[in-house]
Amino acid sequence: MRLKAFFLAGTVLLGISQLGYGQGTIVGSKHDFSQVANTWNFTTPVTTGYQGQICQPCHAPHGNNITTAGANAPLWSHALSTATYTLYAGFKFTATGHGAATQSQPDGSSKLCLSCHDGTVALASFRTNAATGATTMANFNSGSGVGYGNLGTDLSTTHPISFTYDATLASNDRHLWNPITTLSGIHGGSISADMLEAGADGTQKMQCISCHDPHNAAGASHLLIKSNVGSALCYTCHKI
Amino acid sequence: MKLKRLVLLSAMVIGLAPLCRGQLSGSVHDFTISRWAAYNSTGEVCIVCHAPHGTDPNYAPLWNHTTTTQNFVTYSGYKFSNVGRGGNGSAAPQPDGASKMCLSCHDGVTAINEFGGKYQGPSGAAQLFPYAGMVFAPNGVNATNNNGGLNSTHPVSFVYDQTLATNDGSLHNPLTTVTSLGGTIDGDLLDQNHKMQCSSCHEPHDNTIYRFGRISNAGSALCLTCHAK
Repeated sequence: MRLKAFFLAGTVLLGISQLGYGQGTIVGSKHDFSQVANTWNFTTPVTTGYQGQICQPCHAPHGNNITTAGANAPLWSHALSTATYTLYAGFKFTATGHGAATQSQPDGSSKLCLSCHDGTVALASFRTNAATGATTMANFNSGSGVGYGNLGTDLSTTHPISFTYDATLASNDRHLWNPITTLSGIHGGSISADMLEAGADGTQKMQCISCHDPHNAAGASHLLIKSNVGSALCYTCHKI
Repeated sequence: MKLKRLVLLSAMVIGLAPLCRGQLSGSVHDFTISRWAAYNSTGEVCIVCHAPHGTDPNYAPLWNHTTTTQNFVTYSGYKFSNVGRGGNGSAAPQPDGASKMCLSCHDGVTAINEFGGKYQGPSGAAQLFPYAGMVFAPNGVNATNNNGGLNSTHPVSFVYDQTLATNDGSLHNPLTTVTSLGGTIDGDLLDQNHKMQCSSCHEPHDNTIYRFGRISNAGSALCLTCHAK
């Protein structure tokens, strides 16, 4: 009986931690673009008619100026970056026999994130407005101009994205959980189901959204998909 | 009753994942422990060494700690200084790869709280490694001061290949010798450049075995994995 009670209590506790998902909101988050005090510095005429809308810089119901973003871009309204990126080159990506993951230039929904976060595209360049030469993410970082918000186009300093994360990779790497059979602790499904994104080639890829929820559903810091206290998000995939 | 079973099962399955992880949590490399409280306010275990963004691409994977700039005095035991016994007539090479990352705290010169590009903590001042027994090259001052003493420590960052084993005469062949981990010395213990590093003996993420050992050294089993004695 005591054992049962213990397991029940454990289940309840685990359940509570998962309840965190869905408790956050985009309203008031860094992605709430309606904030009067937001620092995007939208210039006239971009702000006219859009002031006070949360979604418009990324999504619009009509008249989107982007048609090339693909199936993973629901009503995408922001101008995409045309940059070519320097990719992560850690040895597991360059040495065969240690997992040898292969990555491409950023694809899928990561392209959408990078349309602001690589610092090359004007933040106010969305829908039918081409705000060339205006404020970019690079304006929000002092010093070198590269900070957490502005990744720049050198992604060698950043966790790799747009690579296939499947059972084979996990097996070769030896320090990654099997994404098919390991629960994510986020939506109740596996890593693959809850965190990865189907690529054009049909494989499940890690993307920016594997760690971040741009809509802040979890309410975690840095718009994370779940809290990283105790490095819990890292450990979801990394078996160390 | 069925519900209870389901609940029990789910609790066990969810519980398994963290249990399978090596013993980093609570070890001295768990940077959420109290002695790190002054320097790590994130509540994250990994952040002192690794970060998802803004890292140093020269020291993969995703290296977030400031890297040592010391020019070390390296091991010069006779097998390294004697050409005929496997050495090349000089001391062991300067540390590179994973060893350089370890020495970015354990050299005793680089501030342990310098990660994410600055000295962390409210004082904003450098904190050197406070435990002398875990410091391996404490005498250096900077890159131009050539007195960081790694010469009293087992050599690292040298290539351990069949040629070395043959010339040495008392090292196992790294490509054919099986370790207690199940693979070869080369596959299990050496880095991707076939070099011995700190990480050949130590697994910094798992303190299950004494002193973050990769293989238990009871009966000197770790030593004898490579040394044919």
